[in-house]
Amino acid sequence: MSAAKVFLEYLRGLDEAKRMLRAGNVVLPFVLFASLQCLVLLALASFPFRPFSAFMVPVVEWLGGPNALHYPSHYLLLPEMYHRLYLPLVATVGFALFGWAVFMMGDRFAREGARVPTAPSLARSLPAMVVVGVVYVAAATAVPALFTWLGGLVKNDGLTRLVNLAGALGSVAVQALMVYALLFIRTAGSGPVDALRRSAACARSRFAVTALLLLTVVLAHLPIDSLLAQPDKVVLKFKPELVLYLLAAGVLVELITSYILFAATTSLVLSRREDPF
Amino acid sequence: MRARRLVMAAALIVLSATGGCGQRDDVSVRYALERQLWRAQLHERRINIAFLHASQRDLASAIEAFEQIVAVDPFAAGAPVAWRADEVARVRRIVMVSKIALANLYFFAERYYSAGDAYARALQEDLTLENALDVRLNLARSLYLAGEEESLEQQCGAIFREIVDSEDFWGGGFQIREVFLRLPLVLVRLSIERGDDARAQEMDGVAERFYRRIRAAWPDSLVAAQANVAQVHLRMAREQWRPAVAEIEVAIGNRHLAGGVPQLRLLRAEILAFALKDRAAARGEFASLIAEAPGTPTAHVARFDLAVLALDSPSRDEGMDELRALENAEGVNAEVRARAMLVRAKETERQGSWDEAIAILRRILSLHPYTEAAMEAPMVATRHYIAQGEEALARRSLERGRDFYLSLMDRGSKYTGDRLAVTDFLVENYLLMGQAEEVAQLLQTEADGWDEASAADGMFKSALIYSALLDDSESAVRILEKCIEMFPETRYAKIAQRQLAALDRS
Repeated sequence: MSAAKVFLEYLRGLDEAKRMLRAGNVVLPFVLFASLQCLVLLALASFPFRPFSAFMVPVVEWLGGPNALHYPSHYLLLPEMYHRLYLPLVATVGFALFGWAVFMMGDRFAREGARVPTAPSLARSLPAMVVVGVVYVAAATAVPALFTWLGGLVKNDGLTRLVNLAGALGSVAVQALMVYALLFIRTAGSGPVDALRRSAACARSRFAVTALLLLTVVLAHLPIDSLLAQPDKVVLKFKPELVLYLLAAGVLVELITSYILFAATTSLVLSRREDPF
Repeated sequence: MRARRLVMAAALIVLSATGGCGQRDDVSVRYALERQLWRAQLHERRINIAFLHASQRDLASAIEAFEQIVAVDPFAAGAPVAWRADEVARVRRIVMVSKIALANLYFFAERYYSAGDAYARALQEDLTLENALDVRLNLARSLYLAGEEESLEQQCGAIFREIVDSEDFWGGGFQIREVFLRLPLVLVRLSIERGDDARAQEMDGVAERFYRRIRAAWPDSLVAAQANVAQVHLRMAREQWRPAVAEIEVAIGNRHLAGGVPQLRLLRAEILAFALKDRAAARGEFASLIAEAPGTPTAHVARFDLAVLALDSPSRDEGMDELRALENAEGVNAEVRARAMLVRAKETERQGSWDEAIAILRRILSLHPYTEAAMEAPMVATRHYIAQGEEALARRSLERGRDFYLSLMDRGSKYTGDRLAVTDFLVENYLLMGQAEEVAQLLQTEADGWDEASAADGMFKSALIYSALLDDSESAVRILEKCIEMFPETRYAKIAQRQLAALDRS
């Protein structure tokens, strides 16, 4: 596939995602997950105050150590604490909600006449979605972690940066291979392993455009993530609470990008009016 | 139905978990205080980074932030039973730190009364001995600058008692700073200044016992050596010159004071020469100081002292030659050079060579204008012309002197020495000419261009001249009231109030 064709496919995916917004309810799972993230952030940020102090003080101490109970080190450790809660949350609740969204998107295409097999019930597919979520999140975090470790072994700064960049691209590639798994749980009623296998096969045929979509997601998060990677600078140069505002902005960015990612990938497969299975 | 039961069960689990853990108000209060402290310290840091450039607004913001922290006492009704001891200790520490920081900021803002109050409140907190002494010391400084000299003496006494009674101090669990060793000396001096001989004698005994105990507790240590030096100053304050020399001799033998031995020897020689009039012994000491380390500041002062001694002896010419040599010698500081010139000018005048003397005096003013000798030079000239009955020349000398003194007093002047001494010379010069009213007016009209301390001091001197020399209490009262209005919360206002009360009584 030529670069121009990849770009046109990419634009078509974004356009489909925009068109899908007309059915407002497809956004609901993403909004619910964003609300849950905000609630977690609120509980972590307001842990010393009622009503959170009753149960969040030990949680915060467990997540961030004794320093996390003090101002302003609490805000220094907030991104790390949030990350520790976020990963299991997105792997389970997050993927269950994204799966629900993909089911709704699939229904929409069925009404438009695409050949979408009968959906298995959402409740029955939940375990498969969660397993896919756990594998997806584990792989997406393990790959850059592995490269970061490798980068640590290299003594050259420039080379370390290159290795880290390779880690980020590797993570994008791994996610590209698994991003269609939820769709196959919906359309083929697959179990988690089969869904991941089919996803990898499907991604291979449209790898460039899928990777481009995932790269868009990564780039959208980049400004906020790079600021949050140095919370000490944010705390000392600006104000500690800015860390919380950045994390909240990150939630908003994630709401938009996760919707675009799943809507675009779903539409790329289902709107081709061909049998992708 | 089944879903509703599940929701109910989940709600019950959350509620029981919440109720079981209990609210952590201790963490809430401590965290909120930490947040306030962080914000307040941001303002404080801005001031500490560039104190000279910190605006009044920065200072006001920092003060306001700390005032908010100390405004509410979290333990007004005692610490709640449910609060954990470590959190209570942290809250107390934040409150204590904030109280001290607020007091320091009041001090920087020259709000000395408020600073004194804030330090006194900080003393109510649970402080370590070292912190408590620091706070008391700052309290004493605030009180002094607020003009509360009686309270200053009380505070110094309290610090001293706290040290003497402290097992921690004598047990060595505390780093002894020289400032604390000087406290009894300060108490003796304050009693002497007040003219309270009995109290001075009593404090002298207390101080002597304290220093002996220090030297016995830590023999062969720097602190013992510092106590020894404090004893020297104590004897000098009491004008007990022989015991002072004896203490200096002990100090000279202390290996911890090795670097200060030449100065101690110079001091001993000066006491011998000018207080005990034992000139032979003094000459020997000055000569050996010069021979051992020629070209050092100590040797230069010794040369000057030796020359002054020679002036009163048959070898006067040698003394004059030595003074002339000092004026031109390399490496001699301006103060010593100017003093040598002044002494030579006075001696030359005494010998009847006024033309030569006035030339030397003019050279002092042009070459070393920021020295004490330069300040005395115009007075020597004025006094000479008055003695000779040359009124026009005396007036001319007075005017030149006035211009010189006012140039030093100006806020933009490079002069960094004691400006209060400059106004002393200015006043004395005018009084020599019998122009008391003129100088009293001058001190008021010129004060606008002076710094705060000089302006206030000028007003006091002006008021004193009106009341004591010109018998014009009304003008004195007006000036003192203006001073209180101009410098509220400072020691100047307090001194003015005291002088007003004294005027009322008289």
